Amino acid sequence: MRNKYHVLVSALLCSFIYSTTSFATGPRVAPSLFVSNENQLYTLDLPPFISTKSEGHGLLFEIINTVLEAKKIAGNINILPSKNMAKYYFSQENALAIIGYNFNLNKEAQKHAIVVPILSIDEYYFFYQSPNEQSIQWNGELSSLKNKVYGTDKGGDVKKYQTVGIDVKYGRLYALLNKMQKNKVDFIKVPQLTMNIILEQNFPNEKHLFTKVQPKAGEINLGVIFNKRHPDGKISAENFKVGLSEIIANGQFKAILQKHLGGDVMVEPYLRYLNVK
Amino acid sequence: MKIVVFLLSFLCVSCSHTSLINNIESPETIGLSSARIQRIDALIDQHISEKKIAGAVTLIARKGKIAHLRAAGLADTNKAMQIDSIFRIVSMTKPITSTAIMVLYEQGKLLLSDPVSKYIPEFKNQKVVEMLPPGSNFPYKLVPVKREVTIHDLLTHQSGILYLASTGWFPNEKREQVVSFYRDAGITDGFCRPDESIGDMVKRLAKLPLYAQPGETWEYGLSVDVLGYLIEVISGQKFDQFVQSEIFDPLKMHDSHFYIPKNKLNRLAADWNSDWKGSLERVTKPLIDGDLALCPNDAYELSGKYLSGGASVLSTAYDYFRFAQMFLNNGELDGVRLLSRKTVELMTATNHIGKHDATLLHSHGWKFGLGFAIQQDRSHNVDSGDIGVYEWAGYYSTRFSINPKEQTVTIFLSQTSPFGAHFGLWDKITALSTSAIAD
Repeated sequence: MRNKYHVLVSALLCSFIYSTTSFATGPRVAPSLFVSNENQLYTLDLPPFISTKSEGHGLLFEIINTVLEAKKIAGNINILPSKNMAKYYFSQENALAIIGYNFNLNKEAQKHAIVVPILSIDEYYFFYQSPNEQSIQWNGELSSLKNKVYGTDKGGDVKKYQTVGIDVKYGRLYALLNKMQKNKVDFIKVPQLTMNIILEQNFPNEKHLFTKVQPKAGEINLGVIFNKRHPDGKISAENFKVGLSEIIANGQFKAILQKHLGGDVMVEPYLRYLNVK
Repeated sequence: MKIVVFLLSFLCVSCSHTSLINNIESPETIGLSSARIQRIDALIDQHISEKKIAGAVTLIARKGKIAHLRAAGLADTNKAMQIDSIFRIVSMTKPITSTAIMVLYEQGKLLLSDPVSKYIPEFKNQKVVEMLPPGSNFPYKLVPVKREVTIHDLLTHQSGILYLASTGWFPNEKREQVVSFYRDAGITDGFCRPDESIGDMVKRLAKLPLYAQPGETWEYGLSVDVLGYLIEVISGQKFDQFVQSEIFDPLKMHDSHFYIPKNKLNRLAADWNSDWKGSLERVTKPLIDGDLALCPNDAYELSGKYLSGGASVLSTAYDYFRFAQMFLNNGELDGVRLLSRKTVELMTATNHIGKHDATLLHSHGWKFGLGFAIQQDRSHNVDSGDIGVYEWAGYYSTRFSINPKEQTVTIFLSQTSPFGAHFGLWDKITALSTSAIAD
């Protein structure tokens, strides 16, 4: 079990090290803006998991807040528009924690990171195609996308794409979607739920032209990275792990997922990295 | 049906031309010299013949009367410039937005000393970038603001908010660091119209660190875009609707728009790229130069989400004259009062930015008021004719100048990139306009 936990932590850290697409869009209002800068947990927008436009600021936001409240951990979640700011607060101002994915922490910052995984989310490749174009050939091997253009945010792991002859262009998610429409980017990697929301909000008349292809492209692992350098970092991380286990056991976790994703949601896939006691 | 629409459109354009031409006074009746005003024609024609610019509209007015309104050269390929051609006035939007703020000020809806966070809570707890000495473990730190950004700071560009393009104007490490946060957060200068609301952009911008402590520097930037959103929050109206009902309609600026109406598309002047040495090409693609991104073709879009208080308005020389004349008349035009005399005095006072100079378009000796650069003395390089002259300009080569002492308005509208080559032409036009005063 202990080994399994190490595998889990390594996997989650990797997801922070290796970048995928940035999802920061929309306004960043949070009640936490109005408190002092102590005990902040910094994060970025990733609808519907973290979003000021979602009820309760998103399901991950709500899960974390539920645990913080249950275990009386002093902390406020602050949604930032810039990943670099979140990293700055973690590494230079010893923020209590950062939340989410994809932070590319350097080795020094990783030494002080205590990762508490929460959710695992499938990611898919999406293509944009005109109604008459049916040229998508994704078979699970990146080599099948040779000569295509992959869009992602800066700082991500793009070597595996470049190695097989895939060109890479950078941008934020919204900009990448526009580039897909203009045939400047062929495909991106995004969780289905996120894509659904972004398309509904921004491309309601063309959402059917953004096509998801099977099989899934990968997973992102969302969690909290507590900071050992914060005076309460270690104890908060321990308490948080306990609290998370408790809300999974008592059904609160499932209830939050169902509230955000619908009553018939299958919870287990989201917990696949959490089967650790 | 199409023929009828075409004829009606043609008739409307003709009517508009006729009415403008009928409004033009003989220069001598208002103390200007016809012969000297013709020097402006010669200057513009020379620049057109040398292919430095494709075309321009110039307007000189005095004592509320237009003495000179002339279109020259091309508005587009094979299309002559017209006196009612519509231009991307870009940063000449800023005085309009500042005026809209002052309308709310006069309605008692805000104080200039109000912290912006009173209306846009994201402006609470802002940070400022402070660079650390070379050799430090980390290049910078973020320090809390000593005081909050106020509406006055936004009007006078003392907020510490930058334009991304400023990395090209005044490069330094600190500016680069601030702009890297802007890039990371998807902030743009708004010269290419983003497909998002101004509110979404401003709320992100508010969470990013400032370049300097509020009030401690003069930095031309996105401050006026923030004002545009502030107008939405305070008025409860969309920014463009507020400007339409409170400024464009009362001043009868019928050809001023945030997004061009379809029936006026044929009046929109094209943007041209000039090397200032005889190579002149119509711009067909976005112009990208480092962090500066210009999308002149966005002006052909009939609708969109983004309403930039710093850059979005399209207008004509005549409309902008009406706006400028309102200021010369101490806040009213044709019996409609937009602002009080005292507010106009406040906007055009020269001591808003203390020891700082507004050096971007001008030189030392120019200060920034509430929406304009204002000439403070006559001992420096750029002279627009008098202490107290106020003016501003736009990125596609547009400029206006208002001289309250001589009661003159000078407007030059072209659509030529890049921007930097045009300072000399603008200054000459202002000099020729001033030297046409003959009483």
